[in-house]
Amino acid sequence: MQRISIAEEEGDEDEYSASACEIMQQRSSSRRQSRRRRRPSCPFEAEATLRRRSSVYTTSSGETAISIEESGSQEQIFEKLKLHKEVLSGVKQQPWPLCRKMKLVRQAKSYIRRHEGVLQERLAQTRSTKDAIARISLYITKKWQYCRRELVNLQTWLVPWELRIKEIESHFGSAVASYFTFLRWLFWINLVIAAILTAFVAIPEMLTADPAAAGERKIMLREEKLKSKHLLTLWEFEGVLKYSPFFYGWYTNQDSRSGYRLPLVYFVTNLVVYIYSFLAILRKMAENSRLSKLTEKEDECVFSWKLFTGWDFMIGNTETAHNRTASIVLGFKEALLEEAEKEKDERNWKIILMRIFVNICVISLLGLSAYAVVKMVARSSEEFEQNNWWRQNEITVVMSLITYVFPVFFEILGLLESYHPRKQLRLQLARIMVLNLLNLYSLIFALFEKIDSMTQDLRDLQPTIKNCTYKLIKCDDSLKQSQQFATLASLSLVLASNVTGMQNKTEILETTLPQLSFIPPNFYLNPILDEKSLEEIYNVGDYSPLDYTYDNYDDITKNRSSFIENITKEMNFTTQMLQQNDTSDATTFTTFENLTDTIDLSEGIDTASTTSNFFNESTVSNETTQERDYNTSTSTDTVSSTITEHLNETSSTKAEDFTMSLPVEESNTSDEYLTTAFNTNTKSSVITTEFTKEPNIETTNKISTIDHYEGVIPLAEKDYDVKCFEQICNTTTTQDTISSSKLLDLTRKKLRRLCWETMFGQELAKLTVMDLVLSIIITLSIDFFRAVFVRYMNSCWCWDLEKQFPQYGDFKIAENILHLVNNQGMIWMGMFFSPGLTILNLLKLGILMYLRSWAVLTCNVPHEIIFRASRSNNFYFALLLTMLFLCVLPVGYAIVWLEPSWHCGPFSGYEKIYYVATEQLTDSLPDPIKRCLDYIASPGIVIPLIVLMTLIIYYMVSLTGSLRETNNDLKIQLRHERTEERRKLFKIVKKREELSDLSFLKWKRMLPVLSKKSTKTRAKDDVEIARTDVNERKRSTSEVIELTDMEQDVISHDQAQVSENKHDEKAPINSRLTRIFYDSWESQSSDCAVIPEIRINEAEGKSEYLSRSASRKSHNVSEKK
Amino acid sequence: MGNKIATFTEEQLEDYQDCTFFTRKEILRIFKRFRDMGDPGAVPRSMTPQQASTLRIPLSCLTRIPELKENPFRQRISEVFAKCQSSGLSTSVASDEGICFEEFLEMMSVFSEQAPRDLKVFYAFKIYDFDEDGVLGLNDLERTCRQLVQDDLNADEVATVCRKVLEESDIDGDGVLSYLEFEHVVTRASDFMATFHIRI
Repeated sequence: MQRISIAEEEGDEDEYSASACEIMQQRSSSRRQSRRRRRPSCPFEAEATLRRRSSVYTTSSGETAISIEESGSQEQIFEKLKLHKEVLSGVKQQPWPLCRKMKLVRQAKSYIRRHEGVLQERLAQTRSTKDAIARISLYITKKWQYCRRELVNLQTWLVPWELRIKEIESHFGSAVASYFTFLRWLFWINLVIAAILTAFVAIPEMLTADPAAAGERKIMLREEKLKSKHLLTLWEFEGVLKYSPFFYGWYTNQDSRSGYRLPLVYFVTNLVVYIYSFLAILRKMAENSRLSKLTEKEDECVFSWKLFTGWDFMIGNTETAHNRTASIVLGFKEALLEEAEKEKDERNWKIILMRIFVNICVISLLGLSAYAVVKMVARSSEEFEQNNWWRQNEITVVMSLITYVFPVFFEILGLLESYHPRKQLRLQLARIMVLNLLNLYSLIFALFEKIDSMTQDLRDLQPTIKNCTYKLIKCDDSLKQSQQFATLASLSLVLASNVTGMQNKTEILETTLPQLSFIPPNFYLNPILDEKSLEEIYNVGDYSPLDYTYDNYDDITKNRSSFIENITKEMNFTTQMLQQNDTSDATTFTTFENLTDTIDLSEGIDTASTTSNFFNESTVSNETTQERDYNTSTSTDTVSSTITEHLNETSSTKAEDFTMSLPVEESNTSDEYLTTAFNTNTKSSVITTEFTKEPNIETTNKISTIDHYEGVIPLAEKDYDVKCFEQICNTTTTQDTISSSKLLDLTRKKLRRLCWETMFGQELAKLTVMDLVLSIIITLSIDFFRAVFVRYMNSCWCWDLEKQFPQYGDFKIAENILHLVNNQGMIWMGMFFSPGLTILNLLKLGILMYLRSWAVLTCNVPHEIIFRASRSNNFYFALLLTMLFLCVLPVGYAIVWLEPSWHCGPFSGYEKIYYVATEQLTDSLPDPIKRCLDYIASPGIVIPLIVLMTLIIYYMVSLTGSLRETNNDLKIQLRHERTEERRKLFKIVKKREELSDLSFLKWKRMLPVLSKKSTKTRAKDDVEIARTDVNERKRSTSEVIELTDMEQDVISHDQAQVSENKHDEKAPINSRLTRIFYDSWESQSSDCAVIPEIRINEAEGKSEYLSRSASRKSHNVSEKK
Repeated sequence: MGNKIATFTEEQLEDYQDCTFFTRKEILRIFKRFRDMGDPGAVPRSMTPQQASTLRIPLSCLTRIPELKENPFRQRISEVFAKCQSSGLSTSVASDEGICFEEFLEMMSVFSEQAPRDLKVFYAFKIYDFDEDGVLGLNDLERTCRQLVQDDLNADEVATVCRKVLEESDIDGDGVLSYLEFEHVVTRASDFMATFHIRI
């Protein structure tokens, strides 16, 4: 066969050009289709161009010996080469036998090789740049193709689990295997994500980050270090893992020394990864949807689909094949039955009631699960003893259990509903999906709530960084003064409303002070270290003084000034104490905190926010004083002791002394404050004096004092004071940032737990691991042990275990897919706050792959009935996409809304996470563009955009509606044409019979000579008919057209006579003829809907044209065969 | 990689890669299957281009591939792919029965995952077209149905099913399914691509 003779070569050339032409045709049509999504409306035009192109082929392939000079210019050669390459790439798509393809490929290749070589030589000779570029591009494309092929080759080496999946496929069919291919695809996606995150975030951070600038992020405390590698610690993602690139908190917020902008990169990389996930899913979905056209209805052609796509060609196992056959038969029977009694809807009250009941049950189960999750999270934020494993893991355990157990309930409940199995399956899927989403979301919301409280705590603990910056800004603005008023306006409003109340409260001071002195003894021994408990105490302290205020309403103005003086002093002091409380173990000072709180209240700040404000400010100032003043001030013994961090041992008596000597010490400390520009004493007095003067101003003053600590008003003029204070603050803050490592032990410990981003990541990581563990356990118990039990106990059991009750488990595709989707959702949710989660997930998916495939192959049996709901490919991806979208929402919320913790993670110091990007952007862009961006981000653009989108959507929707209508119309029209056609056909046949009868008689009578002639033509016709199909068709069509014209031409008569003759003498041929012409009509009209519209009653030229086209078409058809 | 050079020449492999949807590794894997399929010793380790298209192993050997063994249309499939050769214009020297490596490769290529939808549909049509008249007539449908359900449906039911199929998909109402009609129906079935597939 390979030996091609010279004589054959001619034929080969023809064949070659024909094949090439066909390839081109297909390519062009497919290209057009992809571009416009419909077939070329005018086939003739396309054909003409193709013919032109094919002529190129004949010449190009024909001139094997002809040199290039003869064949034409370089452009032509280029063109031809390109065409040949197209042939090469398109040959795969052709439904030809391989040897034909091979021949084609060889020819094309030899042509390319020959001509390309010559071309190269020629190009090498000339010196013009254009040629050089052409040469280079030629070379590059060649290399590129080679590389691409090699890459593809490499790729197939790398595809994992191919054999495994194949085995599963052959045992269980494509439905079960689709789970594994999905799993593999997910694995790839996760691999890419993990690679990106590691390469751009984790590794640069490890290599280039400055550990000195990292502060507390990368240091483990000594006691943490002790247990850092214990299994339990690792299990909770504490210890080593917590201080590793696994979690958000570990990353620094400083650019590395080499100029790598770590925080920005962290942000951008995560953004890229999310976008990549979206794109990957969408691409896959588009790919899948290209494989099968959209259907309007699920079960449009039930029988055809069952018949033509029922068999799964991948099945290679006898049992599975048997099952498959059975399921197909069942499907057919079911469909037949359905067809038989289509609309037989029995409205059974019992069933309806049952369904209602089931739905209620499902909803309550869903509610229960959400409640449980919320409750668990709330419990977890309470204090508990550290070593209780259950308490540590209850969230994860409960959530995982819910995801595994509730579906079983749903299944049982679903059985009660007595729906059709397919519908039941779908309902089940929907319910599980809702359950998963609900769980995740309730977890997220609960976590966000927890985060809220954590940020509150954080703000309280926040010693330096943020406040300093805050102050800095204020300092700049303070000159204006108005700004300050603005910031304080809210507070002033609150206060201004109840001036009298404030007076009352100032009055309280008298009463509360004695109380305060009483309180300490009670609280001394309480080891209260926590914010929570502290708050509780606040509350306790809050209430009693309030009562007093209303009791002692009378003597307001008397001793007010003096008392307030005292109070403010105490405030100073107690704020110091406060700081100590936070930082040290000293229990005694909690009481002083009480004091401060009561004082706060008495000063008229009844709202919680203001107190917290005050609290913040005071702590800040304390911080500053701690570093400096305390060290210097030797007069207050306890204070000095706190500085040295040995406060743990301070006895209660000491503290008592302290309280007694409060006024004195206060004066001392206040003096010191004076030295540091905090004039507390004088200030307080000023306040009081102003207080008496004007209600409005006085309130503002007070607020300023509260907000800015006492230092605001050392002098009578408040404006000036504010300024001073802020300057001081600046200096202290710089000190503090450096000394943050000097934070006391307890604060550090507490801070560690307060990094909410890490907590979030940990929670999800724990969930992921727990999910894996549970899935292993459940696979083992439900599938493996059950299978073992059934297998080995069957011989000694009273019923058939394999056939009846426990049976072997079957692989629940849909639920398992949902499980994967859910898992992936968790990863996407946690990814931002723990880059290592993706790697963990990679591991998990790998394990799952092996586990599931092992379980399926060892202990599952193939399905008996297969339903479509779990099979269509895009269904899974749609689920995944929904999941991704829903999971990105909370992350987006965290990015744009929540305040990142100030002591950990790459975004500390920013008010919102996304500021890291916007600030970089505004820094790097010139002013005009910045203004443009600002404008674009403003409602001026956004709202019109939204409106525009809405309009477009509306337009699209209406367009689809009308298109659908058109579709239906066309369908109806097609049917109509069809019936019309058929009727016409019958009419024609009948008419022809009559006509031929008449004409034949007439002709016979009038022109006896012609009859002889006609028989001759008839004979010729017969020969023609016998010769080829094509001619037959052509003839028949023209015949019909002429017949329908009903013109009494001689020719037509002649023809009619011929056909009549045929009819008479050769009935089978005639019938065949009619059938053929009918066929040709049919095939034409089915080919493209344009043709039926051509008027039949047109002139002869038209009919000629038509017949030619018909013949061409039939020619094509025969060629295809 | 040493095996590759021993089996095919580089050029051959390139050509095969151009003509099918396989990569080098897969072609070699298919060759291995082909060798396993034939009687031991029937297929040499290395293949010249000559042998690839002429050396035939009997069709009955195809049943050694599990997928084809269970497939109700195995007879038809082997017919379609083995006959391709003789229907081509080239001289078919070999005996009618038997399948050569190139045909086998072609078959696997059609059933591979990368094969485009149109190609698959084309061959599916060929497979279901038992009498090879270019259309799926009632006869073809009945045979398809019978082979698919393997005598679990009685004649009446089979006839009903075929009638229903025609009702659904015979758009022009001529009593047979043309290729276009077949394509129209099959491409809209969501799992055709998944099921018309043999993994190598």
